[in-house]
Amino acid sequence: MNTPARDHDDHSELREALWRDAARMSEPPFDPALHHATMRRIRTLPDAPLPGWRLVPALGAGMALLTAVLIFAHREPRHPSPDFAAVIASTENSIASFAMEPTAVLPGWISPTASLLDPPRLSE
Amino acid sequence: MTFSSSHDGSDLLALARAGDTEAFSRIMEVEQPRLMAQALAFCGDVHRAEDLVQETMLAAWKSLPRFDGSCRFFTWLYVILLRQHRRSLGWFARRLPLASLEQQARLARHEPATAEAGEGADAELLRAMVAALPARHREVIRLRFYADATETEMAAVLGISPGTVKSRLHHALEKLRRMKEKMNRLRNAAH
Repeated sequence: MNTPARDHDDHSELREALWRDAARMSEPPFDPALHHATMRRIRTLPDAPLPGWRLVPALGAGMALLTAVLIFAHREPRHPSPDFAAVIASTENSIASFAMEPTAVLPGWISPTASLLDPPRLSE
Repeated sequence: MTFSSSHDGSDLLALARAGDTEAFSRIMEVEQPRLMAQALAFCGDVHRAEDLVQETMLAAWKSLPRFDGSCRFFTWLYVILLRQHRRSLGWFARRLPLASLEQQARLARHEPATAEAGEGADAELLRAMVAALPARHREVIRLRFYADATETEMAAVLGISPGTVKSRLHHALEKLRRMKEKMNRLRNAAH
């Protein structure tokens, strides 16, 4: 970050040149013709526009958005929605077909809760 | 003395903001010469400067209800002048190409006849360099040095933070410094 002191060192000459140039600018005398011509134009300006006119773009955008939402909501679905009940039932059936009694397949000593004092006996 | 520093000035401003064209006319009688001086510096041509002042006054009248008094009236007016000037320029003319600036520097190589002529050429080159800055940098330079706006005023009128004003001003001065160095090299190349 540049500190003001560094700014002063780097740009002081430039700042002075800009101040000097601004001071050199001389103001022309007041120009009544220009002033009256401008004021005439100002007086012929219509009064402040109706507030309603300012809302026109916003209303237009709102209508466009509403139309887009309605079109989207009433659009025919491209794919028929799936029968969730059937899918769930099928999944449950698949899970049930894998179900098995753990004790029937695995020996008891594999269980982490089996007593360590009861070592497995190897079949002869 | 500036218009808005006087007690009558703030009364007139309140009336003008309420839609009183006579009050606005009196305000602009005071501000017009200063505005014209700035417009002449931008345009370099009386007719174009008059058009610019007229368009600035019209735009100021239309947006007067939005003037909140957070800066001096002239500072606010000056920003309108800057933006009207930018609008009046064509898209391509918004930034002076560096090539034309270099051409100007080459033309200024020759020793001026008098010291005053030399100062004038330097001032011309300085204004051309300011015109060659990007709009956001040109705006802060002109506001700070030519409209005598404080950093707080600039922040209020441009709708940016004082930190951003400081940063823009620093970058603008840095760009001007680099441009000036380049122009000096071009000038000295012939000697």
